Amino acid sequence: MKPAHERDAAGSLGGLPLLLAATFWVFAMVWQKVEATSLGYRVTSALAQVDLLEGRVGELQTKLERLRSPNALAERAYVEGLRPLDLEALRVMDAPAEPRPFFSRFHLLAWSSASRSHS
Amino acid sequence: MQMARLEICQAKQLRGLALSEVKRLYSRTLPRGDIRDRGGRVLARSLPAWACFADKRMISDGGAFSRRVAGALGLRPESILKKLRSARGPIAPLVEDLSYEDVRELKALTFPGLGFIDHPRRVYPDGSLAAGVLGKVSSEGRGLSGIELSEDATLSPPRERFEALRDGSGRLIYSRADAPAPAKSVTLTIDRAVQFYVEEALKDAAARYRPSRALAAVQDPRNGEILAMAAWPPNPLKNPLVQDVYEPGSVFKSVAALAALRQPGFNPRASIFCENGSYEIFPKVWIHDHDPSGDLDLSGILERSSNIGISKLALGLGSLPFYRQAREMGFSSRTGIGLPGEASGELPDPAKMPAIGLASASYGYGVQATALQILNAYTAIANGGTLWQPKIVEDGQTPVAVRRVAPADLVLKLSGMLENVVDNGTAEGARLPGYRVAGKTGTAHRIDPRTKKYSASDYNSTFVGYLPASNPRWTILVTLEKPRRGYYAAEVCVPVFARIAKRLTALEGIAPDNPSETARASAATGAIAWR
Repeated sequence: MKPAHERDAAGSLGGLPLLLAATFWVFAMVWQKVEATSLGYRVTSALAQVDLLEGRVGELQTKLERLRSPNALAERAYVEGLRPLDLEALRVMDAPAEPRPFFSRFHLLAWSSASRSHS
Repeated sequence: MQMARLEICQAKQLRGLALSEVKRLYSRTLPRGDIRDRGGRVLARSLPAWACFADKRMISDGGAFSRRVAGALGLRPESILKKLRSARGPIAPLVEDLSYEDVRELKALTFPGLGFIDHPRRVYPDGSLAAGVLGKVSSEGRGLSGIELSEDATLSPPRERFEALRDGSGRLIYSRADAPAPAKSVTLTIDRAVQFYVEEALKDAAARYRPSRALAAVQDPRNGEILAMAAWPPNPLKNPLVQDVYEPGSVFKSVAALAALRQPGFNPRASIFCENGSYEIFPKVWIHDHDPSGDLDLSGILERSSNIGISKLALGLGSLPFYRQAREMGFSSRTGIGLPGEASGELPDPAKMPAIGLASASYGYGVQATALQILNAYTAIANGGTLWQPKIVEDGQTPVAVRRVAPADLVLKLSGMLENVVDNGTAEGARLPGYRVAGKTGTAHRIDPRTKKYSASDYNSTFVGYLPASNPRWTILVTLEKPRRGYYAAEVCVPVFARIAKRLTALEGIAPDNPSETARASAATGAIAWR
């Protein structure tokens, strides 16, 4: 049997590793929970951000639609001094025998400038 | 022992109790589906908006709180205090419809007790454009009228339900949701540009002629698609073109004309004496013509819109062929367009129709029709005889041809007569240089609701026409109710039709189908004149 002072020392040292192991185990278990909670916060915050940004995208798209709406375009055209085309002002030169669609919205303007250069 | 009891025996129960403190089941409304025009442009969309509220449990001094947040919220402190005091529970709503930017700024200022809740908000980027067609949604986001109602099942999203854990501060730690499928969008056959042109023309007509109401619609005769449908003043809760009926007046003469053409042995060139404008059709029952005439053939009757001529024709036909023709052209039954509240209109029972009833029905009195039915009937004339089921929602299905209204050659004959109405008759104002246009005017007295008799001063004026007559692309209807400055359809509706038709031909770049007329025009050729 060991002397009492050696028995005491061995007992106190034997408890420390156990205590350290227990602490480490508790810490490991808790740490996972802490990490999971932290991730949960971040995910939830990110999802909320996604919602906000999707809403922002929708707002911007709507703003764009408003700017491109026929009302808005007509107002801006009026301010710029543009007026709607009067069909009676349009004259057809050398009209084809068979009616065929040769106008497009852009060709209309190109044709008119070409015709002006010929007249 | 105690630990064992708590950790083992009561573990499940205690765990559940703990979770119930922090875990909740939540639900939220996802955005409603978009409504788009045929070009994919958004006509209606749901955007997130935030409502701001005050949690009274976190506010010790209402006055101080009101003064602090008033500036940021754009409200007066007294108004906020009033809202706090009048709220029954702990939550006092303050402001609705805050935007993303507003919320971001307010959250940065961190007012304790101020909270935000998001909810979808329905926006219409083009304002009141196509209001009657689109309709409106309730504050809960359900359709109340128009397409919002008829397509509510498609547009409404399912509610998203999710579990969430909250910490002691109320913040979400974790949430788990089953992501439902987002709501679908609905695409209409409406063309936003055409709709704008039509509404612009109606607004102008309202300013000029001061009607109580103005209606207009554009339909594609090739497939029955509705390109525009408008009413002035705009009302998102009602679409009078499908919901309201009226006596169509002389536009209904095409029914009797087509019924007559279908009669074996009928000669459209045969003369009918139109009594020089006044005819006692039955003892003490007189019919008058606006334009007194003598002998007219069928084309002349339509050109001059002779009530006497058409009523003699109808009496010669009999009630059954007339009624049958009207039914085949879609009157007295719903068109099937799918918009809510569609009226079916009314035709008198042929078995019980007295002769006077037949005579007056031939020129559009004693019958009730919606604007859409009239438009759809003329679309059938425009395309050679096919009555379409009008389409306003683009669902990927082929257009539904309901029936043929008459043999194609007879419909073509009638179409030629309707061209004469524009070239030589009551609708000369509808002529477009270089284009063949066909149509019919109609001016009908309205019934005075007080006297239950026809009013001497209130009219429904209608013009319905189509162009280019050689290969029609658009059927256009214009109706003005109770116009105050002028009332004949030729005066008040035909110019509106002409304005819309001009815009459409320019928009689509449709080549003239009557170029010889254009070549006779005056000088300054080859130039586009800008005013």
